[in-house]
Amino acid sequence: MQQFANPARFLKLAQALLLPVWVAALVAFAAGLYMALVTAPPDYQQGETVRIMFVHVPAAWMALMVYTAMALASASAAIFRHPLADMAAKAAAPIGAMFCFLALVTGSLWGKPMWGAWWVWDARLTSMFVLFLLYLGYMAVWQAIEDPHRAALIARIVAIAGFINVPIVKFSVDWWNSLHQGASVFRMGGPTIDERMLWPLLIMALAYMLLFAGLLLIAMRSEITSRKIRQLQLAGLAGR
Amino acid sequence: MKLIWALMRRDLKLATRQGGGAGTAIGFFVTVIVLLPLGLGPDQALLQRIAPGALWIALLLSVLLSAERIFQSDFEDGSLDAMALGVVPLELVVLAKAAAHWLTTALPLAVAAPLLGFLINLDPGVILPLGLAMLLGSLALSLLASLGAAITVALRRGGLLVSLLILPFYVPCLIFGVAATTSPDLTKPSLLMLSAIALASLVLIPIAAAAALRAYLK
Amino acid sequence: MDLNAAHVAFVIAAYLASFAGLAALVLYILLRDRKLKRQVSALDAKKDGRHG
Repeated sequence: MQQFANPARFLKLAQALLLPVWVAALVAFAAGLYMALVTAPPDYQQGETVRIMFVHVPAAWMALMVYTAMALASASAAIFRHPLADMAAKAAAPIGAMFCFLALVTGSLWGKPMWGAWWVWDARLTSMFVLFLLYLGYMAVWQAIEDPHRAALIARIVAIAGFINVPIVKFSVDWWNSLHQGASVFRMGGPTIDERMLWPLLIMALAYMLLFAGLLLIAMRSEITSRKIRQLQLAGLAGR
Repeated sequence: MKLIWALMRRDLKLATRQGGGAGTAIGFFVTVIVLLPLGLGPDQALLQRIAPGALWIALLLSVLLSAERIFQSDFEDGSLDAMALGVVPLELVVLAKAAAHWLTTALPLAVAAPLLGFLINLDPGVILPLGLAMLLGSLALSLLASLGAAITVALRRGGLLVSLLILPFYVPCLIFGVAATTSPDLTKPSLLMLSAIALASLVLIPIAAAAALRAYLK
Repeated sequence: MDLNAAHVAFVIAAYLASFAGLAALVLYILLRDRKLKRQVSALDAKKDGRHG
């Protein structure tokens, strides 16, 4: 029953936070989109294509942030045995995976006109792709193991090991890419970013973060509900 | 210490006897290397350029293929339960099993790779760096494979999950392993990076893999 | 935004892809939450029915 003490408090908190978070997310998206598509100037080199940055960069930032949050939640689950931490990590994974996927897709849509290819084995692309695989692996673990308690123990290990691996991959592919090709110049909006481009970028990033928060609250609530369903089902079987 | 030796000897025996699985990995490795020129054409210059990378990829895949058997049979017949209850910490059991896997699978492949390189026109000048890189790299590969095997030990279709989970960890090994052969100035730093990865795996993976096994054993 | 500029189709495609992806994610999470809620209330009703 102690298991339910914390989730109950969380559910109350989530209920109170949901509406403000979603309203703020919608406002931020509206403002961010207006600024990204209307007030931000085209880049002197990339032209209108630079606008892809406003959906690409926030997705990439969030993909990295969500994985970090998952790893931290997993570590705190292992250390403090907080019952919500595993659920938070599990609930965050599909959201982070979608952000990562969108970062790859929009990056590809930017790469085609700018580099002339949908996919280049650039260091950044490669490490983002590996991050996507880590997300898929993490989610596959939850899928594959039926007992949620056992799945949580295994998923923690996977999340933490993957987190250690990310900087190693980043370093290795940076190194690898500088060996093979030095020509592809990956830079955003020129050397120093214009303030009229920086603001929409930051507001879009805020919008993505609020969306993540709103979705995480709902997904964690679903997670708590599904545990409850499992307990009720087990109790029903035992009672028969 | 004696117990660990006994464990390792047991695993070595199991792996090398008929149908033990050590042969499968080598067979797979040879198959990949023989099929490669047939698929790519006999262009000697092309083969020479891709030989180190091809050997590394064949090594990675062979180790991955043999990963499953590190813990599976012992888990299924209950030996692993006995080992978990024994005096030897599970971390050291993992280490012993990973070492046995390395000695029977990864190490023979690493030794055979430069020889098989003759089939695909490997530049003789890179045999030494390639061999050293594979020696160090195969240790990391075996350890990482045992982590993947521990994570999926009780799953019926664990094979797919192992490859998905372990692939990201093999990326740096592959990059540094091949880099060691691309130019003489890169040999030393790549070998150092590979040893760093191998040493870090040596310390961290037994802990992680033992934690995963414990989750399944209770 | 200049709609006649070069590569503008890629920009539109990137925004559409992003919002389609995010919408799919929102939909998936909301529907899962609804489904689970309905399940739990059904189970609760069954349990209460048996006891009462």
